[in-house]
Amino acid sequence: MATRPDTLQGSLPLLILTILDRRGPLHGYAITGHIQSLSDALRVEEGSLYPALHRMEEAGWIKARTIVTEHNRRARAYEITSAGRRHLGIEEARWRSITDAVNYVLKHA
Amino acid sequence: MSWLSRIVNVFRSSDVDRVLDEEIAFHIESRVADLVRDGMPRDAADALARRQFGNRLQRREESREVRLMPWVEALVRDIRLAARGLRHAPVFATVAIVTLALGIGVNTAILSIVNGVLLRPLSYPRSTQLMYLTTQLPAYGFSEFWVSVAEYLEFRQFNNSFAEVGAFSTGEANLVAGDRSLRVRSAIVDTPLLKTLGVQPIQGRLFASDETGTNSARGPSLPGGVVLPPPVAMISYELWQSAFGGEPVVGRSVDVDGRRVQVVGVMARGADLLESHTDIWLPLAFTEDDRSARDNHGLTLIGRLKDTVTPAAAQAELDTLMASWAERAHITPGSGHAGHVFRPLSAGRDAHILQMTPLMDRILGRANRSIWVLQAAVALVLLMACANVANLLLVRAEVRYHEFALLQALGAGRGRLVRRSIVESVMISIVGGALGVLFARLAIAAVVHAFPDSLPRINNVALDAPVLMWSFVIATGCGLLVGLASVMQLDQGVGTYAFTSATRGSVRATRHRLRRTLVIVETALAVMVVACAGLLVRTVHNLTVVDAGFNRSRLATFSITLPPSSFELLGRVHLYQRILDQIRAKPGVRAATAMTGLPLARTLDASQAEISNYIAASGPPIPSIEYYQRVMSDYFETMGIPLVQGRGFRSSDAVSATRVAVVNETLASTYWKGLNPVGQRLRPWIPGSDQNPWFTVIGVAKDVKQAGVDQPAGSEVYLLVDQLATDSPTTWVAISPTTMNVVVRATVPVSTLAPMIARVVHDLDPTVPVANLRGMDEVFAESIRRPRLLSQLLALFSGLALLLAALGTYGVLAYSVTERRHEIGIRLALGANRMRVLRHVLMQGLVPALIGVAIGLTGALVASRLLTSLLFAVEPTDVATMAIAVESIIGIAALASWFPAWRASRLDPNAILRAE
Repeated sequence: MATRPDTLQGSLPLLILTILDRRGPLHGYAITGHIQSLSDALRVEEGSLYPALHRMEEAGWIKARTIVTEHNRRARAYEITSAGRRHLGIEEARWRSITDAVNYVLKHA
Repeated sequence: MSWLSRIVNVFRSSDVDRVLDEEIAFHIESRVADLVRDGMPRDAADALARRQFGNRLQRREESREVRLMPWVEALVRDIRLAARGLRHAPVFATVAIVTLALGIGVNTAILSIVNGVLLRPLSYPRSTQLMYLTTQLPAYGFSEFWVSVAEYLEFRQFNNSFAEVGAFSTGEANLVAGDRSLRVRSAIVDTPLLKTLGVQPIQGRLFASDETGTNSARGPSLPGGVVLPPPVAMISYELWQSAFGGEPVVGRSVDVDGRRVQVVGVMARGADLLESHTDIWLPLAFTEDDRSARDNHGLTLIGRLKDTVTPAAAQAELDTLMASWAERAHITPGSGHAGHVFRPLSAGRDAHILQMTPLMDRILGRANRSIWVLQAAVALVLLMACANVANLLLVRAEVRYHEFALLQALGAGRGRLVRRSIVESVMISIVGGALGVLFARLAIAAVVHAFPDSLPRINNVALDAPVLMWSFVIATGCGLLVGLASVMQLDQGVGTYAFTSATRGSVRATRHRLRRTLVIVETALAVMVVACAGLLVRTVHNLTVVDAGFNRSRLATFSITLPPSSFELLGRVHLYQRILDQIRAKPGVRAATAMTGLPLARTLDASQAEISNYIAASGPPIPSIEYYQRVMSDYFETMGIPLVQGRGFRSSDAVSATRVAVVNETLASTYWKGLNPVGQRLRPWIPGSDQNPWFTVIGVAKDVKQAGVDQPAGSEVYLLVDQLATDSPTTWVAISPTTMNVVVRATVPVSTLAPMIARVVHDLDPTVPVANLRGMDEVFAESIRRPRLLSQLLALFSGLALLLAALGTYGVLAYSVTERRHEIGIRLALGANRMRVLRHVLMQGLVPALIGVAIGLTGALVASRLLTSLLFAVEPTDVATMAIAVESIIGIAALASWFPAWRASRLDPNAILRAE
């Protein structure tokens, strides 16, 4: 499968993990909603969420279970795992060190 | 989600798809619901939701690939398609599968022999440390001779390489347990030997160290120096089950050779000494007299190397010991008892060395080479089977040409098509392999049942895990090989399956060349297998027609043992006499006699003798007679052995005062070259005993092959038991024999004689069993059972090879004729001679065969060199055998080519042109 030139490709997992960490278990549609409400700049084709979710599920960062929504419909909800939290922590630290470094350069160059 | 669950999901793909679809559907429906709630009409909401979602199919595929392993899915799909394709071509599938089943089946069978007999270590603990030790006496031509008690004890003392060394001898004994009287195989061992082997009892105990070895003898020796060991014995597990019914036996007393002994232990199941099927283990005892008789050799040694010592190092130590033995033992080398000592090979005629060989090698002997020859032969047969199946696949590829062209046009890459072909051929070979394994199981059971003793360690032959694993690997390998061969023409690059007939023609030509090459290879391999088989068949034939020196037709034989402790000397002779008299009186019996040694399976006696008028320069330094044959009356007449000089024994000799002897041609030519043997004298020699009578030679008998038809005859002297029997013997020769082999020449078959003989012996003494009753033909057949098994198996494989070669040639030619029907039809329509067409096609079949034969003949001449040690009276380059092999292959090729050629010449041009 050819990879799509999506600007969000690398940071989509990070985004999902953060949302799940802050907001608890959500299904795919709700996650999409949160991403869109958080930022208009990060516009993503809705469908590309799902392969990302499934990859993260396979990697063990999130786990899925079937829930019943308030409209009495069946859906799959995802929840972050401890491995996922660990990964989130590592990635946050990484972003932070990159931005710190860039800020420093911008200030002192 | 681990890779295991990803593989499992391949088989649950419909479930996986459903879950993915549901999730995506939920998302889109939720979006639609929200949009409708905000006021959009449903249709528009639907369209917008879908557009916003993106490419649904592609997303689903991406997710699917996360969930299941894509290449496993592709493989499973290819397998399903291949199975369906084979179902639609049952004839092709059956022929291919059966061909490979035959090839893989014989390979599996031989692999199980290689694994069980050659590769699996002996059942003793750490068996690679075990060495088998014997002596050599080059001046007498004895390359594997026994060890004397003194030599054994000194070796234990002098060596530094062995952790333990023990001694043994083997034989047979009469066992009376309750009311049953049996002849059993015995192993006479000392405790160091039991320790060396590491065999353990499952009940009771092993011999204690004071029960064997020096000074363990109990009681006085019997006349002639037979030493009585302590009255203990151990029995084998197998004997315990068969003769004692598995009942408690430790502590019981049984009769062994007329002597009461106590059973002190039962050996573990399968415990044995060198494949001799030991039933009873007896203690080995020797006295000081035995020790001082340095030149009395009767023992064989087995030693266990120390953990830190390699065989090479031990051999090096042995070599240095040979040179310094006399010094260490404080012996001055000379003739006679006291001066007999090991001397290195550099001492020439006086050389006497101790040699060692790994125990496994001794047990396997020539079986090692025979089995590898069989393995090579079946490997070649398997290659031929693969060539045939590759040809079938090539033909099939032609037939499916259009199908592949269509697939390629639809976008299937070359890799994909290659993969499908390979999956198909691997499937065929695995199914064929499974079938072959079943077939191998039957074959192995049949061989083990029909030839129980024809291979050493044959009870290890089984289809166990390593063999099955190797068979699977071989089957997969064949499948890959065959699959690759059949898609080789795909290497033509883009447009291979283009519809143009021009391209098609060139592809067809390539494939045809490929098929021809396969037939050439097959023919070459077939020549090699058939030629080697032919050499071995000739070997067996040569062995069968060797003149053994006596007439073995309608001759039955059995042996009886009258043990020393239960019969007095003269009593024994009279009993043998009475048995013979009674048998001779029975109807159907033409003649009967008895002797101590049964030809074709005799062990050396090799005892020193004094020989008158012998000049030592021309032969062995000390005269030694290799075989002593003590016979009853009518010996030469019953056996059909002609006397070339002088006469045989007469009834008057039995009561004559002069001791008479008959010698064989070899003895006469060794010791009395140029002299007249009749009238010469000889006597078995014991130091200090001049009371031994001299025997006068009255005749020379034709040589009898004592040890086997492929061994040269040794020197032999015949003595009449009636003359020997006396109450006070002074030499072992003069004791009436304990075991005699009776031979009966009769007009009725052995099965009729058997009950009569059993009755005669039983009436005269019920405690004496009749052992080994069989025809001499059977004795002979047993002596050549190993080369015979080898040649029969190879003949079978060469039959298989010829069949495969015939099928291969026929198949290629038949298809070629079918392919070129138009061309032939046109030629015939234009007036071509039918005979020319026939000849043309016939040539097409024969030319590859001839090329193959030429290549194969070269290969056969090289390969047959490896067989040299297995052949008898035939050279590896034997012209007649090679000629027959070549002729048979060409004949088969001609036969196989005949039918397609005939069919081609019979084609109706009208029918062909009309069908255009």
